[in-house]
Order: sequence, then C-alpha cells, then structure tokens
Amino acid sequence: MAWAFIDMMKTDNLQSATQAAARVNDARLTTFHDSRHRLGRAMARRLGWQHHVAWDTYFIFGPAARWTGEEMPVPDFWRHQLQDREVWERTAEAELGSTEWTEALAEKSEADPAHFATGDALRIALTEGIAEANSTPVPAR
Amino acid sequence: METLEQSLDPLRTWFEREAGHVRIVAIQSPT
Repeated sequence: MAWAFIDMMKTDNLQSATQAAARVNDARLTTFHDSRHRLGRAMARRLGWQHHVAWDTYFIFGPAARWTGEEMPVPDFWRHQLQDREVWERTAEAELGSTEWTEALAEKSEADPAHFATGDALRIALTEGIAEANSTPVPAR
Repeated sequence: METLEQSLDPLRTWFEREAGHVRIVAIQSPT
C-alpha cells in the first residue's frame, strides 16, 4: 500500500508527515510526501475533477493495472471522505430549507457522493474493494 | 518517506514494482 501524505493544512509538512507515518509499522506500507499536490492533482484528474485536489481519497487497483502512460491508471475502485461534504452536511438543511440535502450534494462538490464513506463504512467498503480487485484475473504476459 | 516534490516517478516505480498484486493508494493530510 502506498500511503501518501499531502500538505493541506497549515501544520502539514515533512515533519508531521513523518510523525503520522510512524504511527503504523507495517512492512507492506510505502510512504510518500506530496508537498506540491502533484499526487492530489493527478488523482483528481483521474476522477474527472476540474477544481479540486484529491485528499482523504483511496484508490484500489487490481493486479492487472499498469502505469505505462504519463497519467496514473484509473482505479478499479475508489472512495473519499472529503471534509467539504461533512461541512456541507452540517449546513445543508438550513441552506436548503429541507432535509433532502443529498439531492443537491453533487452540485456542491466534484467528489461524487456515491463514493463517500467514512468510519466503519469506509473500512467495509475498502475491504470489499480489495476483495473485488483480487478476484480480477491477471492477463498472461 | 519518499518525496513527490519533483515528480510522481517514485510512486510510479512502486506501482510497477508491485504489479501483479492489488495496490492501494491512500492520500491523507498528516494532521
């Protein structure tokens, strides 16, 4: 797994990224620091977002995926837990005068609400995504 | 910790090295 830390908050930098990475000791992890939003923008482009940098976003690629072009491949599965949705959730009812705020969510963000998950729902979704990706056949080389 | 300051090449190298396996790319703020 590639665990990338992107500088989004004022306190984000190489030092805080290094500290965050140290919380998990797992040889399967490779950590990266995205100080200039190169990866955040690359992931956003793969999702068709024009105006947002991707963060709190998770891509899963099956065994057959290859990175042969300039752009990273399109993921087989993805989820996000973007804060802008959470902020929107807190104000949506007052803003819309309705509890049917999910109807308008797509207009507020490029982050597709159908791919939003957080907490246990995120853990379950990613587990299912990994299982699904694992079941895809790898073409012979 | 590998830096992506100059390019995405370090991530691309990891991605291709792990080809044949399921790969996850997670991006988060560290704080």
